Amino acid sequence: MLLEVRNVRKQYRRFDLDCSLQVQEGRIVGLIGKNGAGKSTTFKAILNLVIPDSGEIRIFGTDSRELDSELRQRIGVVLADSTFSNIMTVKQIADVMGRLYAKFDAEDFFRKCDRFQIPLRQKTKEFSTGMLARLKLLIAMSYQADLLILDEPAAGLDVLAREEIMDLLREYMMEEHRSILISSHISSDLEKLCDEIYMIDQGRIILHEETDRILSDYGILKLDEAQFSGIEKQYLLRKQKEAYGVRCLTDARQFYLENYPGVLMEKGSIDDVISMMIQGERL
Amino acid sequence: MNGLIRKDIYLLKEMRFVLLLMAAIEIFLVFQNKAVDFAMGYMTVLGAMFVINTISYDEPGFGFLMTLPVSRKQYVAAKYLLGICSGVLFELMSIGIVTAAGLILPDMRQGWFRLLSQAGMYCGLVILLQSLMIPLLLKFGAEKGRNIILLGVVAIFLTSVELVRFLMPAEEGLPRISEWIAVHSGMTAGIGICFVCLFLAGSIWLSSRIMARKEF
Repeated sequence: MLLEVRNVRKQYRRFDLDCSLQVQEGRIVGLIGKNGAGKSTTFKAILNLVIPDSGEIRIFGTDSRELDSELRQRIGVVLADSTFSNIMTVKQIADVMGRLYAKFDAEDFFRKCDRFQIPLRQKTKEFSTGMLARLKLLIAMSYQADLLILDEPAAGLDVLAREEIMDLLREYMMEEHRSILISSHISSDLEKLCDEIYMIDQGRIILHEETDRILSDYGILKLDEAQFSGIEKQYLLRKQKEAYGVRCLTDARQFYLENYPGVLMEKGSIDDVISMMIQGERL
Repeated sequence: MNGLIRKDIYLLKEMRFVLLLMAAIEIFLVFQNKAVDFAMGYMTVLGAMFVINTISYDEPGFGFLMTLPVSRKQYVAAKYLLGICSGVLFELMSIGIVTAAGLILPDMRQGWFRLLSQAGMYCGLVILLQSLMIPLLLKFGAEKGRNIILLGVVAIFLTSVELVRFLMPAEEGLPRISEWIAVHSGMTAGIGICFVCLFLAGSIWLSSRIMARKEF
């Protein structure tokens, strides 16, 4: 297990985090939730940037508070709102990285900068949002870290730029032992990239599921009142009142397709699942 | 830590024009006004302020910096090291300018002993200033920290003046202190060095504690 977050709690005046999650070797794990759901706080707790009130975080089997320099060199980080000072140039950042990380590969880093047309001698404050996002990711990937912890790496980017970022991550995962924990509020990004997904809302993990299972087994049933009262409810996770009757989320799509051929069933996208898990009513 | 120092050097490089301006002002003060003592002190105080700028440049990216393979203690150590080194460097620069002035204008020639003891005193002052500033900046941030430092320096100055006035009559206070220092110069230097070292150690301990508890 590369990362294990066990019952981590952090209390703020208007927000409580109570979170558990795991990242295994060779997996891409997504943390998804709307803005303010607790994604960044979870990442900050993992990275020891906020001090949890209770719970345990282990990275590479070591308590996150006791990570030494050698273990920290195995973690690559992108934070949504912070990086090196924006008065530094990429050349200068590379020099600093080379002194901090034993495995920093300057040649590969500069090659990738060139590929993404990132100027080396320009201060990063003059970069566009897309260039800065790419640079942050290239920095995190420049020293062969085993675990990437990426908080909203594609925030504020257009579809094409986001796709480019996702491609970079797929490339990075060609090495088998590597893992990624990534957060986003854009579900389509994670849907295509992640092996498993945690959904977070108001500081709580409300769903943990394999991405393939969400896409194949989860579905939205659209039922009128009569259909709803007669249907088997054992596999319904949430319901929501609609003008036409009731909308239900299930994780056993096939069961309803086979046993209730007359009901209207939509394939569950991650967005649907999130919105139903958050806004729907438990059965 | 090597990486952190390098980062700070790059940040300081941004202020090279300010540095040149400071050197120009010092040269003017020395050559035009022959204000050697003031010029040396001025360079010291301004030099000490440079460390503030590296912390304020770090501030927006503090969270990211704390994920690098350096401990928070190392971050603190890097700031003090940079502060002390920049202080010494500015003092050396001042000595250079004053010595050059002495070579050009014979009436401004300073004795080496006087020059070095003055430089030593200002180095002590720079360490004291930074020891005061760094924990405040780390605790309150550059913006708020700067205001608190300003208020703190004014308060310390006023308290010291009042203390001297209270302990000694106004007309003989300062001369008496100067006389005592001149007679016991070795002891004064020793006390001064001990005080600076203790103050520095306390400040490093406090800054490390502030950083250990800081959330980003």
